[in-house]
Amino acid sequence: MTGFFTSRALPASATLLALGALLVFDLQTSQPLNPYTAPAAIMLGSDEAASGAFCALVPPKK
Amino acid sequence: MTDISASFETPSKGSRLFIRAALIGVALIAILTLIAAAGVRYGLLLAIGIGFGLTLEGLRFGFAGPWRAMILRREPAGLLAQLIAIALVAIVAFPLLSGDHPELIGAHAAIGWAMVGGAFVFGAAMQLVLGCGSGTLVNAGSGNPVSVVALPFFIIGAFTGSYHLLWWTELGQLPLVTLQGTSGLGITLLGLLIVGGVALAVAPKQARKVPRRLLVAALLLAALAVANFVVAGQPWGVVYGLGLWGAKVTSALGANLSASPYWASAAHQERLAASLLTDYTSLTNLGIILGAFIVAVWRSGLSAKLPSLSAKAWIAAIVAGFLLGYSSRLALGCNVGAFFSGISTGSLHGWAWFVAAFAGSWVGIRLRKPLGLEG
Repeated sequence: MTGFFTSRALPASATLLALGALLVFDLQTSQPLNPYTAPAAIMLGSDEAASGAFCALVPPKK
Repeated sequence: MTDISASFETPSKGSRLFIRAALIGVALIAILTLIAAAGVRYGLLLAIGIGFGLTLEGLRFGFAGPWRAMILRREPAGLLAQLIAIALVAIVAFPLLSGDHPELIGAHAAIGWAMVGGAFVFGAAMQLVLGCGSGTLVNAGSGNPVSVVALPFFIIGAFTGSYHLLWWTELGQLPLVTLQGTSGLGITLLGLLIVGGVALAVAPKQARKVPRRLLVAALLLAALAVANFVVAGQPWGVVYGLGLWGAKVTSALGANLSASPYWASAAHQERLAASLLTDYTSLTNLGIILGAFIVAVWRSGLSAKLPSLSAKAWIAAIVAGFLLGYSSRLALGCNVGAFFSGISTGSLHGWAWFVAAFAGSWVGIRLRKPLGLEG
């Protein structure tokens, strides 16, 4: 295992493990997933409103 | 006990084939599981994210490195490839945004003091860790220890920056300016042409060619960015997702985010309550990391030895990681959300971001040696 601890395999594995832990934590603390209430496969052409949850959005001041 | 790294270092032909088949299998299983558990759109976005990761790592397409090459050696190839990809996306995105598609939204934001300052700091920080928004994810997935250390602080910074965002934007900003329609597309393409022309004009003769690898990468990235736009209804972004990861953890640990007008807003409250597996930006971020990991294992790249860096260099990576996150929220996007997606969907702030971040990169490159990040 010496090679593992001195190579890029260690940080790459740590990243994947951390992300896995984040997703487990998220699934336990968030609303459950439900494929039967899923939106249309593609936003273009759907009747949905844009979510606006992305980098450029600044919510209006109250 | 199986030595994991040994399987990366000296794989026989048979085991290499098995590893590669397993990598493809893992990616497909992840996508199909998400489709079954949450819905087709989310699976598609994870697939698009994996495509981003495969392209960025597989074809070595980046943002920080090419800007460094342009500033230090006047080599324009990487920058030109970025401009080509942006132009290709703009050619598709402008007509869609001008058409009768209220479900689509561009990466539109106003230019302001905090936005320009944030872009400048981001440009400097991305040269310190040699990774931008997408680059830090790619590098973390491929086992770059500096990026792995910087990423958690990037997340904390993105969360903190978004928490304070409205205070910063109140320092002053111009009215929102967007380029639209055929004339807007024409101005955007002309602007990209001028930047490309200047980059070529100052380049040495032998460097005035874009390698086929980068042209293919630009084409693939453009196709994936358009797919992201069509499937999600919003352009490709990175830092919103990272800020959300930080907010989710902070919130779940008991912190009350209602004091932040940003996180208290309806759109973000909805995101905080829902799973990350239904957040578009989070899904493409996860895909980028997974895609980069797949390429690294595929090429046996994880066997590369870890570098020996000074304590000062690690501290610099941590500080730069935090600054990348914080400044990118002030800048209303990183190299992806503001530069790539902003310009390609007609937001003037994308151009302002480019100028400010390029100036910041110039400063960041000169800070690397004193901070022990260069031998």
